[in-house]
Amino acid sequence: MSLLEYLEFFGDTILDLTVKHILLFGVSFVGASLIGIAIGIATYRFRAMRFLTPVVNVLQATPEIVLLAISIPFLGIGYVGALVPLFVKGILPVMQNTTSGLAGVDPNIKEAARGMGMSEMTVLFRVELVNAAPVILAGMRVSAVMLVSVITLTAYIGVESLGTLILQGISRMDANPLLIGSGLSAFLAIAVNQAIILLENLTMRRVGDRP
Amino acid sequence: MDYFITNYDRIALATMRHAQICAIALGFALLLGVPLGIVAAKIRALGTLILGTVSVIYTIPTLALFGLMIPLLGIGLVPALVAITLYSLLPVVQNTYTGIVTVRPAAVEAARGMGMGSLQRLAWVELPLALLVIVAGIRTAVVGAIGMATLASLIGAGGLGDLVFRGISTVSLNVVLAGSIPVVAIAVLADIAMKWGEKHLSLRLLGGEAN
Repeated sequence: MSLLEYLEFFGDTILDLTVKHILLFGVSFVGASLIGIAIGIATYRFRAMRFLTPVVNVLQATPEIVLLAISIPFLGIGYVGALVPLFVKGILPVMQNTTSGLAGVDPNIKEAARGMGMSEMTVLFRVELVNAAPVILAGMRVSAVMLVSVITLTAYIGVESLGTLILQGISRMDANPLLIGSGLSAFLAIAVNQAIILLENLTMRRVGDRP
Repeated sequence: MDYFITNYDRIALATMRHAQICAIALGFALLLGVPLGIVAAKIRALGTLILGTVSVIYTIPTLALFGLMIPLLGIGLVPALVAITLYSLLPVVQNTYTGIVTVRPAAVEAARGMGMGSLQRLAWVELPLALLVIVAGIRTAVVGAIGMATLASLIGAGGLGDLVFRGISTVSLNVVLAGSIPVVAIAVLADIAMKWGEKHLSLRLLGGEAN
């Protein structure tokens, strides 16, 4: 079967898998970013949270497929088993960049904000987080690209995504699903990467030259 | 636990194979990546092209990259090595580039004043001063390659991924762990060892003085 015939025959399935891939990405990306920023703020504010550092280091060195494989006996196959490892992997870069982004905000700006009578909460949301935004976005970009990639792997634990096509291609030695699955997921990753780079540049311009 | 003891030799063999795949791929990545990074730093016009290309490759999901290798190179060790080498290029090229570009202009000027030619400056001044940044890039590449090599088993290259995937398909936690624990252990140990090396290197190179 030629590539075109394959596309014509399985077009609906391909579309369906692409939509599932994007949905899974949306849910895990938004969830991981929100939790990552929250934990990042907590680690920056409370020294006690530093105990997380070695845990994060080990988790970061753990291959995604290993996390997925280990989650099966505990969470079963399917969406729950897939989403938890996705969250864990996605949270790490956001959290680290939030902490280092906040730590890098110019103390003079914070002083000035406090001098203007802002409360701690207002300083955090209107000054610190805004100034750390480019660094936080860079972390979100790393997380986003990784998530698109890890989602292809969830096919192994029974979650449908573009990875399903790649898997079919590998097991049947069929170039058609391989090329389509690989091509579409690669395109998705590159598009997400470029979109966030654009956002980073926009916020960078707003924040100006300040670190 | 019994599984570990009874299958000790199998796990050891898979670990050796895993380490072998990573070592060869990283060797190629270094041989290719460092010169590419130097060229990117020295010739601005090529720099954008080289950095753009390696970062696009890095964005492609790992499973997709392995998948794309099959129609091109078939299955086995060679396509796995090519995929891992390509993927490891970004941290090496990027950090070589950044390391050389951020060398203090004063140091380069001084070398020029001493009558060094451009090759001598590169070998005796710029590369030694950039070494720390390059080594940090290699560390990222090493940890990434160890994780990625787990997937190499999918295209028939062997390694610890064999155990992980067998464990997934037979839903056997023991087998998954027999593959996973060595992978995580190698990755964490490599990370710690490289960080230790970086610390000593920086003491030797800079005598505690910041570049």
